[in-house]
Parts: sequence; structure tokens; C-alpha cells
Amino acid sequence: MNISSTTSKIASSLSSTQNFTSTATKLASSLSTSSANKRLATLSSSDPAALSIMNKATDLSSVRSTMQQQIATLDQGSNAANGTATLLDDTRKQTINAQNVLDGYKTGKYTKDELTSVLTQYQASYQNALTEVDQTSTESSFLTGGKMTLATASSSAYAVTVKGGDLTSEGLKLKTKAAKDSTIANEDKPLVDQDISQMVSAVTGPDDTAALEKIGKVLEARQSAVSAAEGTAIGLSKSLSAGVDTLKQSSEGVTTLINNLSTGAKQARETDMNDASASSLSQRTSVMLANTGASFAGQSDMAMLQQLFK
Amino acid sequence: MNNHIGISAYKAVVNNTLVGRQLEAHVLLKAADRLQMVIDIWGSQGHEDRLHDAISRTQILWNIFQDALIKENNPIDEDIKINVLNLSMFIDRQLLSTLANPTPDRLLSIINIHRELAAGLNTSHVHPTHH
Repeated sequence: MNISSTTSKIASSLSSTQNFTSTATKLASSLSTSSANKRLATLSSSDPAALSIMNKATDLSSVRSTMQQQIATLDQGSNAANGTATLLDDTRKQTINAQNVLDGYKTGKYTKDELTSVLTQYQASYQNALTEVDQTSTESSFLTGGKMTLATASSSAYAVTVKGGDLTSEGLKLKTKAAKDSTIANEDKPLVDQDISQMVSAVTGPDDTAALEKIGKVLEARQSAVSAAEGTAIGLSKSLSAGVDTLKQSSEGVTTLINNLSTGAKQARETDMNDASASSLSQRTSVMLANTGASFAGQSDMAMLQQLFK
Repeated sequence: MNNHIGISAYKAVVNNTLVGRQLEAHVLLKAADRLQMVIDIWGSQGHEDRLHDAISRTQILWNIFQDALIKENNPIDEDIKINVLNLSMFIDRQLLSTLANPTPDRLLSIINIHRELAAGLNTSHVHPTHH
């Protein structure tokens, strides 16, 4: 015996000799797609376990979405930090070049015009680098805020811990900004903030030792500051990149969890009821029915019920 | 009028006068009796027809209940509605499984559910209501 043959047999018996025409119509109606969907929706909403699991899956989907946004943001931040490191490396090299030209001016290798040209260009490059560092610091602040948002979302959603490594420890500290601030805070601040292009205009000649030494100290201070900032930018880029990797892994873990929850919800619906639990449920329902005056069906259904076992 | 006709006529009158909970309890027990009869003489002559008849009537009964219960204007208590709908899904599966792989075990659980619900419907501590 197989289902198709027996189903056909049932369908045939419904529509043939036993005055079940109206019942068969009703049955067909109740088995129609819209009715089935409606019943499924009713049952879904009526199954607390399945509903709870699906709600968790929905919440986790939201967390995953947040993670993916953070991945994109952190990736962007990592690239920005990497770009800043490259720029600072170039600035550091330019600082060394400026020191060499300054030394060459002292020995007569370069003229005043050449010194002025090189130092003026260098000053512009240095200012650009500072602007870039400021932008990176701002982005890092944004990323730090984003990390906190993510942590909040994660902790509220079923203890999905984002083990961010550097993300959750020192990695997102604004080392670049901190390096700059420490430079500004120290005694060299007046030197590093000097405008070399103006200082060089005051130089009277290769033997203007005081003016040249002052420029040399500025360049030396800047070289130290830029080297520190470059190292910080590289570290920041790596930290953000590690954070991206970690978040990607966490996101994949959340995806697996969502899939498991969806499967669990499906299984909860399909296997939650067995003989024992059905028996228990029918006993409880029997008591509830005894305590109420309610009936299942309406008046319009009574005629069909009367016909069913006539 | 012979005895057989007299009994049938009596049953028809009973069926036509029962309403609401009493009628629902009555048809649940009738369906349980049909299923029980299939089990009691399992495999004897006419078994397959009896099995199909009992299953098809039980399916119809539960489709009527399901259709009534999911109506938005059904005033029945929400917890009872949910419980009965869940039981109906279980019964649906048991009936289809029996059709695919006939064994009496699954029918026993259905009979048990029918009798439990009928007992509840026949034992009302309040004035009956229906919509």
C-alpha cells in the first residue's frame, strides 16, 4: 500500500456514494494553499518553542548584519591606517632628505634657493601628513564607537561573544593620535610645530649656525615623531585587519548558529509531539475543556458533524 | 419495523438532536470506536476497507475541527485552540503514517486522544457556549 493509491482511494470515497459532497468541498477548501498557510501560521505562532527559536534566529540575523557592517568599516579603517603608514613613511624619508639638504647647505653643496625650495616642499608634505593622521585618528574613534555598539548587540543576543583579540583589548586604542599628542605634549612641541618654510627664510647664510641648528632640531624632532606615528599606523592597520578576520569568523559562527536554530525550530515543530506528549497534552486539554463551556466548531459545522457518523 | 431498522432510526435521532460539545464528543467517540474496531479485528476480511473508512472519517472530522478552530471569530479559549490544533497536527501525521505503513500502534494514540477530549467535552463545569 502506498500513499498515492490510498489517498486516491480516500478522495474517491469522499466524493462518491456517502453523501460527503459538502464535506469533501469543505475538506478541499481546508486543504487549499491559503488555508494551509493560514493554519501553518497559526501553528507557528502557537508553538512557543519553535517561535522562541525562530525569534532567536531573527535576532542573530540582526547581529550578523551588524557584524558585516562592522567588517566593512574595519576593513576600510585598516586600509586607511595602512595608507597613513605609507604616507608617514614617505614623510619620514622626506624629513631625512631635508636633514641631508640642510647639512649640504652648511657645506656649500646646496644653495639657499635649493634649501628653501626643498624645505618649503617638505613643510607642505609634513602638514599633509599631519592632516592624514588626524583623519585616521577620527576614523579610529569612529571604529572604537562601532566596536562598542557591536559588543552591546552581541551581548544582548544570546551570548554571542565576539572574541575580537585586539579589537577588545589594545588594538583599537588611538595609538596614532596618542603618539601625536605625546609629541605635542613634550618639550619639542614648539619645534615640531614650527613652520620651516618661514624659518628658512630667516637664515642669513651657511654660517648662521643658530638658525640652522634650530631647523635641524625641528627636523630631528619630526623624524622621531613621524617614525613613532608610522609604527603606530602599521600596528593599527594590522589590528584592524586582525579584527576583520576575527569578525568574519564570528559572523560565520553566527551563520552556523542561525542555521542550527532554524533546523531546531523545524525539528521542534516536527518532532516535538510523540505518543507520550500527545497523550499528556490531550489529558490537559480534556481538563481545560471540562472547565469551560466551549466547543470547537460553530453552528455551521454541526450539520457536517451530524452527517459524518450517521 | 425490525430491530435493526429501529436501532438505526434511534441513532439517527440521537445524532440529529445532539449539538455543540455533546455532538463533538459524540463524533470523537464514534471515530474512536471505528478505529478501535479496525484494531480489534486487524487483518480480517474487509480490513483494508474498514481501515480506509475509519481513517477518512477521522481525517474529515479533524479537518472540520481545524477549519473551525482557525477561524478568527472562533471564541474558544486560545490555549485550548492551540492545544487542539497541535493535537490535530499530530493526528494528521499519525493517520498519514498509518496509510503509508499500516500498524495498529498509531491508531491507539489517536483513540486515546479522542477519548480524552470527549471526556472533557462531556464534563462541563460551566454552562456550555458555542459560536
